[in-house]
Amino acid sequence: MKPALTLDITPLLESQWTGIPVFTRRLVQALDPHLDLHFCMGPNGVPGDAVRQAIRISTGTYLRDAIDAAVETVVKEAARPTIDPAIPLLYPSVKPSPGAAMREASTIHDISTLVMPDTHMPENVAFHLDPLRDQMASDEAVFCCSEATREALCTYLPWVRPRTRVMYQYVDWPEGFEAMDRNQPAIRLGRYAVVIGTVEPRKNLRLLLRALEEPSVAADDLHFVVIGARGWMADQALAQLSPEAQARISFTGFISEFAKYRLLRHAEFLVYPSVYEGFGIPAVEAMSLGKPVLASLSSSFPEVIGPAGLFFDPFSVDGFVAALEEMSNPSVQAELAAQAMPQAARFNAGVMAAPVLEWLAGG
Amino acid sequence: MSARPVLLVSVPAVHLSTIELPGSIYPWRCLRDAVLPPDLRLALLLVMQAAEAQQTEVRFVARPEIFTHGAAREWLDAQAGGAEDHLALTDGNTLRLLPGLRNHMFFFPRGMTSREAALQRLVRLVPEAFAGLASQVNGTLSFRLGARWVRPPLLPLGFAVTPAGEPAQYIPFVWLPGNHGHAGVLSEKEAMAGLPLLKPPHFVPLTLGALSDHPFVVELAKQVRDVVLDPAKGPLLIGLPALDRDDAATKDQVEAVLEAFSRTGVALPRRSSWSVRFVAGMPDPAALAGGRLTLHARVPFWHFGRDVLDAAAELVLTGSGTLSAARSLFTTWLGREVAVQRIRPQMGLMPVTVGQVP
Repeated sequence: MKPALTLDITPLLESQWTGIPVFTRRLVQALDPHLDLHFCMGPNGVPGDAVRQAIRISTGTYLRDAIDAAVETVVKEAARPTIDPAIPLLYPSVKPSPGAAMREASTIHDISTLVMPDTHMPENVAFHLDPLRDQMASDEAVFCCSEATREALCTYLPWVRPRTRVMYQYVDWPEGFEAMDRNQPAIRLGRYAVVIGTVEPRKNLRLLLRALEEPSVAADDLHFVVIGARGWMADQALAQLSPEAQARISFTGFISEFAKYRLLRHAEFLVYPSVYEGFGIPAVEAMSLGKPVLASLSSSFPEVIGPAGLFFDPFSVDGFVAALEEMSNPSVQAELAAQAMPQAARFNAGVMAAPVLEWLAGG
Repeated sequence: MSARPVLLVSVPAVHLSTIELPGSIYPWRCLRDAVLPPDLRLALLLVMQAAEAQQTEVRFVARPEIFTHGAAREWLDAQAGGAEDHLALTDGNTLRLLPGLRNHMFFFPRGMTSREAALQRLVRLVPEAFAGLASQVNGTLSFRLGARWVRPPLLPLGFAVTPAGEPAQYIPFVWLPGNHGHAGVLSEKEAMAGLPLLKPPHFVPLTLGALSDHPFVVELAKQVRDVVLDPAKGPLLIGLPALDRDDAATKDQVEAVLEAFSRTGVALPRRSSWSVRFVAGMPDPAALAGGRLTLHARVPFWHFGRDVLDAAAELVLTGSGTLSAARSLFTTWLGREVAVQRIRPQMGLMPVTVGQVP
């Protein structure tokens, strides 16, 4: 008989799944073969078939409709199932209030709201930090998304360390993407690198923009495709660049998973200048497609990217330019690319499920 | 390894967003030439002077929080010149620590109520981080953690000579009951860079924290009334408080003080006066010599150098409530006893306490 676990699927209620909703979806899929999974939204149970159907169609809209339909009358509301407090309860993100189950665990993705509140809206800081101490105190296990996140958390809350476990997530491109990509016309972008970042301070795109005016970068023909919205802050920063430099960079806006897959698959490498990440799933996405990563020497990046990347000081234009030149060397790129897929393969569903199974087994 | 001992220093990263840093480790000149809030600039000057006196090399680190672990930390250690100490200048929003080093804290916006509240919230959230501090610069932070009291050791730093800043602006006192905004505008129009004082003044620098001390403000309002009615009792200089807004103008600072006066119930004469004047910025130290300096417990006393404090004929530490921690801090910092004037709430009326909603 499989051990039972209740998983809070509140993040899956979002319409568009990125970030923590995707993490939650992967967690469900990683644990489903091993556990008797129950689902909840706060103290209320959620039907398992609704969750699994929502995952099949990859949207929270369906799940919200299914839950709303179940509580559309007072009678139905009263009959709504609640969670069984005897079954261990795992939150894939913030635990808003403790004590719903006898054994609880939650997940810390990063502690940027604690150490970098200047990069967050005050409401977001309050959402993460107000319950943090109670959350940690009532957790039997605290899952951290990387060793770097665990170390950062334990720097501030050292008594949490014995409860912490590292839970790495993984990349799972849909099976059909490879065939769909083959059936598409070739991408006509010339040589390009994909960039993950925005102009906001934590994502540090400004470093790349500053580097575009450097002679060695200006002389190259590499194009930079930024996955994400351009925004007025980027407009302001770009206005300070020469027209030639501006022509070297383009913004995709919000794109589908398949469009991201195609852009990454045909890129030379990924540029990830972010100052701080709890894990850095875009790096694993790129590596899973055999692409090396040029990333900040910061937080979780060395741990996640390992030998498949080159690193630079996130505040040094000179350091970034030097690393970019090194990455542009075909032999270096090939050497790193050979490491990319094995490195990405270290992060898989079994690795994600393992710490949860160990916790449930009392290990 | 550096020939001299190295101190790593970090400042709130929000102030770095417009500075083009050469790297995560950057030199003093990047901050020296940058536009910074006055209280942060003074704190940095103080740290740099102290480091120079101790022949210590200062290296600034942009985001210490990203170098806590693994390869990133190894890189930082290689750049740090053997540093064993890290001083985090904090505005109360966060406390950045470097594990393995001796971490010190300098909470520089003393008296800024929102910053003090942020720091208290942070202490409640991660008290263990504060309990591990090797020292606190010019602060009195203490708290109970479980069964023990925690008070990071005091590291007193002070200026020998008050740093020269922008010339102070002197502004007349204008009282228009119920229209403090307009009074602020009128006052600001009359601002002058310098105006001779006929005799040594009584100087009372303010912060928002001092203005939130109602009994203290009542006493100050009475002094204002007395001096306006009888200029021979002046001059009274009131240092305008820094506001927690980037766009705050002098008139807003004046309005904040007048609003606080209006809440005291002290009837002030409806007139303007140069005998009571507001001061934006640090007055010329020579103008304060021989005068009286009243420092509220929630004023950043370290903004004043020994030249001003020693030249004052009378130096008083004041405030309502307990002043023992502030007195201990100030006397240790100054190296001598200081007169303390504890202000008690006005007596006369029966206190009313509402225990429950009817």
